[in-house]
Amino acid sequence: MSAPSTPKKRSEVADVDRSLYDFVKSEEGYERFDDGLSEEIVREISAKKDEPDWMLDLRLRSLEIYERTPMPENWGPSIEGLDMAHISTYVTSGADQATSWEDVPDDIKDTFERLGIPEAERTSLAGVGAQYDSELVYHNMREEVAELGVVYSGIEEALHEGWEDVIRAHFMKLVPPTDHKFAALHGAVWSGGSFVYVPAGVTLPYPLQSYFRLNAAGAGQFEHTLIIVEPGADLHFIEGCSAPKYNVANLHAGCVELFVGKGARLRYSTIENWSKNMYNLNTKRARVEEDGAIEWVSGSFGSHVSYLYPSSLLMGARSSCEFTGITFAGAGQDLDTGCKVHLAAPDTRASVATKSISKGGGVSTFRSSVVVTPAAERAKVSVSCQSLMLDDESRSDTIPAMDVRSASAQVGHEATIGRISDDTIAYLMSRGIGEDEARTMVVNGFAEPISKELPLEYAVEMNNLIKLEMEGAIG
Amino acid sequence: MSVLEKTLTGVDAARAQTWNWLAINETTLEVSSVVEARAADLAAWAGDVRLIAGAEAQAWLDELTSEPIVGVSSGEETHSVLAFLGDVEGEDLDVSAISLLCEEGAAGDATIIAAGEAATTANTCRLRLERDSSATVDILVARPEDALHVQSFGATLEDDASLTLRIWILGAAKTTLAIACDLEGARSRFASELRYLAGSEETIDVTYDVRQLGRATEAEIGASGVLEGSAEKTLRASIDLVRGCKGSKGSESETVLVAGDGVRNKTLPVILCSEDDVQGDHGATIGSLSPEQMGFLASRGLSEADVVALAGQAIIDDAASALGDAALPEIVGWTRAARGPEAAAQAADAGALIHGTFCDVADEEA
Repeated sequence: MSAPSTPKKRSEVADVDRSLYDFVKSEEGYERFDDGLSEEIVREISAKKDEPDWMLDLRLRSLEIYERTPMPENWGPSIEGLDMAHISTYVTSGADQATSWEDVPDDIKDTFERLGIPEAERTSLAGVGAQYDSELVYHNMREEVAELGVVYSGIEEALHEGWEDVIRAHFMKLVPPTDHKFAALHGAVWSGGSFVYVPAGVTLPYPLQSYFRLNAAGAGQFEHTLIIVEPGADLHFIEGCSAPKYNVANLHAGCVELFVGKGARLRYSTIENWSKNMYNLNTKRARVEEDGAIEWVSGSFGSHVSYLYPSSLLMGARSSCEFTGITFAGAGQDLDTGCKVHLAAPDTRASVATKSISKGGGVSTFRSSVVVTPAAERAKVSVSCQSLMLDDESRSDTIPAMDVRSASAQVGHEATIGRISDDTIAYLMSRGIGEDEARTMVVNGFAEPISKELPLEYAVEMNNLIKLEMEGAIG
Repeated sequence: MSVLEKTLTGVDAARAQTWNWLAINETTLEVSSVVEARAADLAAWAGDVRLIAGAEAQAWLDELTSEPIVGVSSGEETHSVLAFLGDVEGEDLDVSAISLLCEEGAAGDATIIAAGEAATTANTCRLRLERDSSATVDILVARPEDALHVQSFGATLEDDASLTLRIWILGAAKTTLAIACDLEGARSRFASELRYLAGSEETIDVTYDVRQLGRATEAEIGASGVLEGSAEKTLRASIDLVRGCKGSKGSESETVLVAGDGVRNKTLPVILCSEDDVQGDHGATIGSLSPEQMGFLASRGLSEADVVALAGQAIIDDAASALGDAALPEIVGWTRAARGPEAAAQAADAGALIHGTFCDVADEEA
């Protein structure tokens, strides 16, 4: 008779330590629009910003589209818990936008101090924008960068400071309100965000960073980021976001439109760390001209439900896209993330590498589309997605789609799903490494190709998060 | 009985849906139907087999099928079932069904040949493999380029059962295959190889949906083929590693040679996983011959057209050598009509080499 088998040891990973992000500031004295969505609210938002008529028209048209557009019946995670009738689309502290942290109200300044934004600005950034709920509260850029002709401001400010024609030519042109229901919602109620213009041939020595903080319970954040990188220019833009956790739903439906000129390069890095009551229904899209390059680095750690698929339209010959992403889905999270690439010119290149980790009942779905049009002669695409399951309560799905219509294209795809192998742990332990440390090492190693693409401070933060989760939690 | 035309929607739908604008989630079928529908009587076990052709498509198939060809394998002798479709005189529509039950420890096989001149051929194949049983199912689609073939396939496997499904699609205006397999029993195994050729305006639409429910199950799906002219192929392959299927492995691989300026290749390889102690993987290579490969082949005296023709012939020869005598004349006949007498003779030789049977069709050409 064989001996009774010993149950296998299993990784049991604690939830993310969110204390860094999970603190609430009072909304006393804040202006908060009624919950729900109406033409009156849309007109009020527009009036507060003293917008040109065409922008109000765009908002009203978007509202109309939102109201008549159904949600597709066959789409990923449920958003039934999101009721727009209980979401306020505009909340503001009323503080003027400052160019010095000293001029930012104390409680808001304290928020950003705790998130490390002013420190990062001092040490490693060319400029910073900080949005609190619906409005920017701080915006500043180094003088030497401004002297290069770089513009970095809020969209509203740019509209009033001589950039109206440029904004009108680009705003919601890559992501039209007809794109999907939440693009239409964004078009109707957008507020805040960033406008970046990098003149031809200019290379920024340091990244620009925008940080979005949603403090108000039951509110939505709808910032719009519009970046134009002219031919031959080079920019690294970093986006961060967080919110405290509430027991009511919050909504993030931002929009990012990126225009990358001939021979230009734009790296767009995002660390998304929303709280677990957040519906993160964000839309990001880049258009890349000849010899241009878009590089996405995307870390999705927070939110209750995410729909996030940055897309790249490679319209110019020899243009390229690199997408590097990691998704970490823990308890109560259903993160549907990935990317879209549309290759529409000769000799275009795309490389997609993603990792996902699921634990504690979290659901991670990698979803992608690669479309190679007949015009994309000699296009080359590689897609790699790897998923790590840390327990048997969680779920990890990969749903990549490929549509190849060019006879001379080469498309390669690989996907793997698995857990940390016992052999690997046994090998590391035979070298004198404890089991906990061995598992942490494996997870860090799994995430390493992504973390090395992140700015240093984010890479350190990500590795620390993984270490925190793994330490003392293996049993 | 009168015939009417109808459009079936929701055919071959992918289990995990993606963006609708990609037009990959499902397909539609234009089919003929009859006003006086017939309904097949199914054994209880057959009625429980999961099918995924879609509600409308399966209802159309079922109402046109009178009596299924029923096979029950038991004991040590292999029980064989053959369904030959498309050669019914005076009928534009030839629809059949197979139900094959392999009892404990038994072996069975089924061959479905869709090859005749009828405008539409269709078949539903249901299998149940009891403990320790095994089965091989071969499907050949060798139809004229204006014909339609619709295939629905479902299988349920108990402990230690093993199913091999081999499919060759050589031609048809449109071929749809919906293949469902439930690996319910521990250590049950499903292996499938799909090989296809499509040219001119031909369309191939294939959906696999494999659920791995038992412990230590294995699923392996392979697909490879050549697309020429303005052919269109869609492959949706889903492997679902269901919670509890510890120690299971699921694998999908695909190689597509794109050899036509109007070709469209769509692939949706899905792995669904809710169990940690498993391995799932997918790999795909889609494209034309690279300049490096062409350089090497040119140095051996081969043009790109030669290489594409060789790749196509390899698929035909594979079908000829793998399938039994009943299929060989159909393969050779189809090859002669589609690719000429030389290719037909080569297919006949490939079959003769394995089966020792010389094909009349090739002899006539000779």
